[in-house]
Amino acid sequence: MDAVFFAQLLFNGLAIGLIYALIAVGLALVYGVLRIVNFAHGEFLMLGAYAMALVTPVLGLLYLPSLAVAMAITALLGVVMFELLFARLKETDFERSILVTTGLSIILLHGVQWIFSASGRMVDTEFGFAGVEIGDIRITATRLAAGVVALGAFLALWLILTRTQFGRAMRAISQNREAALMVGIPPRKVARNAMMLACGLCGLAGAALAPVYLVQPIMGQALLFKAFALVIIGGLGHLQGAAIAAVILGVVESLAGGFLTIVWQEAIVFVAMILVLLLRPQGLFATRIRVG
Amino acid sequence: MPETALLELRDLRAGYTPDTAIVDGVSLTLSPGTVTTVVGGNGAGKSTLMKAIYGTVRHLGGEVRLRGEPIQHLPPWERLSRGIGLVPQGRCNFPEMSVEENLRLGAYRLTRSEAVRAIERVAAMFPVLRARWKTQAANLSGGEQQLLETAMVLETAPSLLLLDEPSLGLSPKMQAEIFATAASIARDTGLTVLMVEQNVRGALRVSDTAIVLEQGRKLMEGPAAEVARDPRIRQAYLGGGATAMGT
Ligand SMILES: Nc1ncnc2c1ncn2[C@@H]1O[C@H](COP(=O)(O)OP(=O)(O)O)[C@@H](O)[C@H]1O
Ligand SMILES: [Mg+2]
Repeated sequence: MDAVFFAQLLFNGLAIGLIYALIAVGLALVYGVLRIVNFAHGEFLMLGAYAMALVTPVLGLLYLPSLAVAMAITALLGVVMFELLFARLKETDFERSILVTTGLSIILLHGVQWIFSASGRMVDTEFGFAGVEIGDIRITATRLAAGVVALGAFLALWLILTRTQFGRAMRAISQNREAALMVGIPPRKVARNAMMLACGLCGLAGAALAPVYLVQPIMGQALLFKAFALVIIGGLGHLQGAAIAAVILGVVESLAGGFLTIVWQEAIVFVAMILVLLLRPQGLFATRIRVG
Repeated sequence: MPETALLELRDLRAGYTPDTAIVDGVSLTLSPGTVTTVVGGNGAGKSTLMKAIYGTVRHLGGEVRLRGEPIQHLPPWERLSRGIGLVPQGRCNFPEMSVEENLRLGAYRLTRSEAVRAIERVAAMFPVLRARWKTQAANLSGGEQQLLETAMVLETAPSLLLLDEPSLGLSPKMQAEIFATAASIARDTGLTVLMVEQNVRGALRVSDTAIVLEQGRKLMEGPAAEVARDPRIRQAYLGGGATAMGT
């Protein structure tokens, strides 16, 4: 086996795994705070990618400012969706929440398809097709940037959740609602913040993926189901679990793509999910300390 | 003397659904600096009464007045900011956070500098918490968790502290300590305490007033010592005719 090839796959896998992690963590955060499984979460990824596609040419192809704008747009859309739909769902409305968020997903997907057509678009950035050489490994700059951005977003999220009252309140509500009321946390405000943060992170993931993949309306769907699987593998509402599972998946998929057939690459996560559901229904990491 | 009352309930009705009043027309007045115990059988509506005062159950009618101001339509966080704190029945903390983080959340309504001072103050009040600063709340003993929860609520320096069965599941020694702490805080800081207790004997010993609640209504109210001597009360809540008040 070629060590350079292996390292290249590993690197690509880490970058995509971090992106998966951003998506999965947002899903787990919304579930932890709102007790809603957001089936429209993938569409925020797609919206982030479209925001990137539209904003980048306007901003003169500058990568980071475009990412920031795309993230802000999806975070704002998250707040709007919260006020319009999510805030109206009660915790006991589990079935209704599935129908409402699935409906939202379909509306967003087809709305975008109606406006921009179903065909994919390429996103060009200041990096173009430039590559970065690390020893003998060559990785495209946009892919490396996506990994670095995702890693940075993770560190920021970690700090928010563990060091600020803004984030601590989200963990508080997910751990004990009654105790949250005891200390005077307003649940609705915190739920809105969680949606803002989760949708912003997902939009950021979409924006970072935009120069790497084809931007098209259905791009959120496949990734969403992977994110579900990761959240289940990690233990519902358990952020670290989902994030660790996501990074491992990125690497395993990448290696599988290099050494096995492409079919296996897509199936691995679901095989793992089914095994976890059968063997350890509470998730692989559910007994660990949860942040979220 | 309504103007000297800290808390006044007027014909308060509250519950969990629009059509069933679990607290069914309760009126009472608490003077500043007093300790009052609510006794009553299982399901009498004691916890619901406490939640109705704090605002975590549905308000169905009547008034809750704090220093004369009606507050029955305020959400719990607004009531906390105005000086009402509730330590609910059973375990009520953030189990997967450390003592330190739980206390930081206890200061959620406070500014950053207020929070620092409040955490210092309650840590000095309960040294056992300082000793377990980095321990997860779930790994504390039941008594330590009860102290942690009380400390979290005391951080906001409430003028009215609602304690729902603070001694539940604690050792007799720990129970006595909890009552002594409640009484001494009330004496030293002018805090008004309204508590629900199963350990009627222990609670009445540190209380000024006792209220008997049954089926969501006030059955009796009077000085704690008098209520403790009432034969019907002794029969129902104090285990027959025993006269010994000590443990
Ligand atoms: N969350 C709830 N939802 C619906 N009914 C409740 C709830 N909690 C308590 N109740 C009902 O309210 C009544 C009084 O309960 P509670 O106030 O907890 O009694 P106590 O504290 O005196 O034991 C009981 O009949 C109980 O079934
Ligand atoms: Mg009770």
